[in-house]
Amino acid sequence: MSVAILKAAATIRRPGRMPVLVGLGLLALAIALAGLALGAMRIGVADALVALAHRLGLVDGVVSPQHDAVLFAIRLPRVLLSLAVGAALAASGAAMQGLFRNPLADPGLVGVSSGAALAAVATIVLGDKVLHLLDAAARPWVLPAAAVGGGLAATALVHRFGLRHGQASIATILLAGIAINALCGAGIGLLTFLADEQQLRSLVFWTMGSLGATTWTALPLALPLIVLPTVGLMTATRALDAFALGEREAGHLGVDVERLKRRLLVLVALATGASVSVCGIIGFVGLVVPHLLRLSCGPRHRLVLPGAALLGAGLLTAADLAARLMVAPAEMPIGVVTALVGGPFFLWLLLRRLSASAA
Amino acid sequence: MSLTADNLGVRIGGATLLHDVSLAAHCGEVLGLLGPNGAGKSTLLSLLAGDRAPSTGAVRLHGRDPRQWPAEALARIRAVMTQSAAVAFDFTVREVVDLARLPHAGRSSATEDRRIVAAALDLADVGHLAERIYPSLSGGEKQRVQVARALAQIWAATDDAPARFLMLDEPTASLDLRHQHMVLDTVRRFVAEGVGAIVVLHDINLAAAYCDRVALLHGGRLIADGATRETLTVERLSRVYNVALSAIDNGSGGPHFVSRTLPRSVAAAHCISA
Repeated sequence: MSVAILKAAATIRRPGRMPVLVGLGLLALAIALAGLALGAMRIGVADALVALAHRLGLVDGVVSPQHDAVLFAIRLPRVLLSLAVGAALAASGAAMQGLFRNPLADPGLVGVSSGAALAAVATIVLGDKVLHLLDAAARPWVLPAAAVGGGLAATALVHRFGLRHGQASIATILLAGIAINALCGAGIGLLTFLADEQQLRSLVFWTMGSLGATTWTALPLALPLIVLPTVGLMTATRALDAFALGEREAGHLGVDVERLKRRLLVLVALATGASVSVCGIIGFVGLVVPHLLRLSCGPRHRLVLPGAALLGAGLLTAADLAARLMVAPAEMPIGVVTALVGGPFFLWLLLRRLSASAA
Repeated sequence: MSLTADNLGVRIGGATLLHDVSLAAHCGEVLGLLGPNGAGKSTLLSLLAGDRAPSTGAVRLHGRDPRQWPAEALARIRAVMTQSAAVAFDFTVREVVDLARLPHAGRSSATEDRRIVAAALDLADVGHLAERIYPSLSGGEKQRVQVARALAQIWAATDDAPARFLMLDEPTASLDLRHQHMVLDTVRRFVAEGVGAIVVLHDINLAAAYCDRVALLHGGRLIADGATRETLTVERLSRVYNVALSAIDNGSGGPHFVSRTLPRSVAAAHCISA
């Protein structure tokens, strides 16, 4: 609304879709290269590129085995994961906001992330008693499955509370989100109380978010679980535009409203739950990134959804890089970094809105 | 080529919103839905649009329940403008109207869509607002944009959409006098091309001027249904709206209804029947 009033007098010119998407893609790529080159051990972009090319068999040459080890054992899986998680969180946020017709509905605020985290934490603390009953091959699946299930349950609750008579009520969504976050917080608190020394360390990781534990073993499972639902969200762009008119009006335009709602909620719960299961709760990416895109490029989901995925991938990778560099050789939890940047940004948005409605 | 309603009833909880309503809308004519607040006009329109299933009775669009139509095919032959003019996020006016072409994706070229959107914008007199942000418009401007969107959705007859319907819920509620006539004139132009229009109206005189037929609802029941001139009589309208009315001749050929709470001198001087 605020933007509407500010721009009311002037006519709007939207930037082209392809230039924006290509630009954001290049930005994500540049940040990913920086993420490979920088860190406690400085490798340099050129050396990192040579090492990459060498691995791919494109060039012959001598690469320092130390560089090679740091790049491929530590940094590459981490960068790949941060790109995927950033894309998933930002695209999920954009889809939730479009679905609820509300710019405040992000997977974190409405409780999806905390629902997933509670389920993941419960698996860590209480799972020992059950896990040994399972086949060894099934065990790596338990944590992601629990997180996805928790995310789905929280989404279903928000959906029940937030949508009344086909209209999404901002107050109800946010209040239901607060209640769900509080309940999940209480559950996580209780489990923390019950946890032993080693479990406690894992819990801190869940609640503050970190990409520090990324290894190649987790990626073949986590990456498809995160990336596929994110790609799935991209098929709903036109229908989400129609949703801006209202659910009934979207139905009049031939959108199968109930099916779309179910599909989007499941995809968001999958993408967010799978992200939380590998790196804990990372707030504000899903809220801030779609906002930035709408402010600069307009609300069309054909641009906002893929744009949010690319910008989210870049920004989360940058945040992870910052988390690694700020207190090197130690590491800041990435959730702290995104909240440090996202919090003030959100306040700035509020101020903008206030000053616009006062004018 | 028609839309028929047989013995429609809607009960929610203990309340009867609609009771035993039967009527038909035909292509090539404007059907007005009239009645006081709470008469069931919007409920009836939502049943005809296929938004909800009736508790009793059935709706048939070209012989088939609209709720059984494939959603996109239905959207290509009938457009609905509801009373809700709210749009989330800062879409421009052109982007809002462009959404009307959603059900035509893959059947209509981008060039064709652009041409139709531009023509619909002009027809609703919002062409000059095309690049403005929709939420910044006034209530009447928003309503005209929604009219443009409904028109763009059923702009032309297509192979699989031989007969089209336009359903408008109070399209003139927030419009100034000139735009009220402009919008209803546009509806008549579409009707002349074979579209069937169903329009909820509160202004009896607009209905008298633009509708071929009217259906008069009161307390969820159909009171009268027929040719406009025969159906809209002073006695019937006075009874249904519970207001003392007179019909005066304002030189336009048809009766013009005025409430008798107007200064008596005005009503008396032009009185043709009481």
